[in-house]
Amino acid sequence: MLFPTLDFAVFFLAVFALAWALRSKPIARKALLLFASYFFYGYWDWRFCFLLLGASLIAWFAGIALARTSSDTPRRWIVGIAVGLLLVILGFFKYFGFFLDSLGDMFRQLGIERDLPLMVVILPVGISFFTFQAISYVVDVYRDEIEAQRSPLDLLLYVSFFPQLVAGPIVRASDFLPQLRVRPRLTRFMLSYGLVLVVVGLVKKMVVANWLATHLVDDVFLVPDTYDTPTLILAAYGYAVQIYCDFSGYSDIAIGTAALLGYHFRENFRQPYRAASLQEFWRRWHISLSQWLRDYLYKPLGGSRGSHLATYRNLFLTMFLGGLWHGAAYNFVIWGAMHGAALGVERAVRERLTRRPGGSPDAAFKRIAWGPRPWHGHGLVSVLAVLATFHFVTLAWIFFRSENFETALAFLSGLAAMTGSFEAWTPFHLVLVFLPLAFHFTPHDLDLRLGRAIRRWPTAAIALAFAAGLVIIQLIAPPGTAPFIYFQF
Amino acid sequence: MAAAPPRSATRNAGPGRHRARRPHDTAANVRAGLVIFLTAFAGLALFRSGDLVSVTYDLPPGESSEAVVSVAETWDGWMRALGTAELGEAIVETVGAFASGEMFAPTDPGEDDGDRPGTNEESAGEDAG
Repeated sequence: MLFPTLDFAVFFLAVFALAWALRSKPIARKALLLFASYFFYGYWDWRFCFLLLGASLIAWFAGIALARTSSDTPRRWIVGIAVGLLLVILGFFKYFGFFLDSLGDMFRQLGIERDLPLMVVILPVGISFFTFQAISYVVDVYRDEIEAQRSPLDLLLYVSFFPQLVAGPIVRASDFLPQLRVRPRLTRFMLSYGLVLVVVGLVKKMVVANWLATHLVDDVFLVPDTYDTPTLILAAYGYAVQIYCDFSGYSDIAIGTAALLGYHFRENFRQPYRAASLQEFWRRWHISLSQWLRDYLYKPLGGSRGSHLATYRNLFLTMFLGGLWHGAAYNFVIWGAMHGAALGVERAVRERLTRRPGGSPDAAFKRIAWGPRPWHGHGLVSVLAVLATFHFVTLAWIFFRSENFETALAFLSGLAAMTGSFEAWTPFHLVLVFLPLAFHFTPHDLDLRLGRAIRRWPTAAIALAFAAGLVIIQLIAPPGTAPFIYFQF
Repeated sequence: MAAAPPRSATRNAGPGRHRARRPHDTAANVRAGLVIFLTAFAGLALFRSGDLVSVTYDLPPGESSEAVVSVAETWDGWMRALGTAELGEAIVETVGAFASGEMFAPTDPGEDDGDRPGTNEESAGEDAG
């Protein structure tokens, strides 16, 4: 079930009414939300529900086993087996097809003709997201950061809760499970803030991302060698904006719908294209995944505790594996490797600047050297740093978006050719690309401020504004409903 | 001299302010939420009644589905008579014209529709060949 559809609207209206009717019966309310979440997920394919249930039960049993064991070695075995099982499930669905194709290619190159088993593995929607949540729960219990859940209901709901089930944000058990233990409430602010986020998310997804996809990006990335340089530049910018609006739009709707049901999720995007360094970019982009990679991959690899070389290696490996997580394809690997290598170089430059003999680095370089700082008020260097970061990220997106390595190379060749005119830069494209970028330089809590302002309005005014917002979105969005980009991961 | 009422009380008094006095009343906020959602449904039904008909066509065949389709078509007919459906469609067409650039391009009936702005003509020609 996709968010911007009538099916979801009817589904959510029913869930909203029933969940609040069961407010004083916590077990019944959680059971209802669990049923609704499985219904939401099973709407794609009911067989996927067994996978979701399996992953949740692995995490629940592992949590119970960890709670009953105090010695180190058995606890390590338990966490190892549980995480291993979850990764095997994820790996099978994500990489089995690639593995079989590669094996077939290898046999052919060796001159051996073999009939490999024909098996088409359908990738279940959002498998990575619920697997990551299950892994984070098991590891957090192992690290004694949270208590194991006795109630399977709470844990099943945590893993499957429908607003964030298929594309995040990746919610931590320590954030969500305590919310299930208290009586939920819907304040006027939660209501207005939730509605604001739903409208903002729908505008980002249905209007900006869908128009950019159908009217610019998809065509250009299909056959980049038939387009001139200015169109390729516009398409590259367009994709940077499209993926941001698509993904953060989903997160906004997820956080908004959760707020309407009485639950708080943390923000997942924070104006990422205003980042003045890559380190800052990853603190603003898909924050829940960046933090997940930091806590469950980068730190276990050693983080920045070892030598400089070990830190660069860990940074590179984290981003490289993050790229590979998106799919078994060279373009994702190159995307991850580019970010990993650039983060390492950025860190090396930062360390070099801060250790310069003869005092502290220049004030201008400090801002790049010492990570996140506001982009404004720091003169030309900060502006250049923001532009450089944005263009590096956009360049890496070309590999991420291209169907294969050859298409990415054709795109880059076209960019280097410097031919053509700016005829394709229509006012419509310019609005779609540059208006969302301009919003990156507004106050970061604009949606919160809007929510606070709207909560004082009479209900009739909010109702009319919300209805007008939805009608306008429907009227100005392109026809059809495109799936969210991150569903495939 | 009589004590003045607290500032917050005077600020919240008056018509249209009754909600602000109890921002944490969950039941009242849930009712408000339902009113808001139903208003949004009504708005969509007014201006996008054609979409409503399209959705009902996707329902599984059956007597009840036919009844739903019939209701949706009747509703769409009313909205067309009222003019709201046409207004919505006019906005959709205007946005489409803006998106395709027709709104800015000079009308030239002899122009070849196959040429896309921004294409590399040589490469496109090679591909076509």
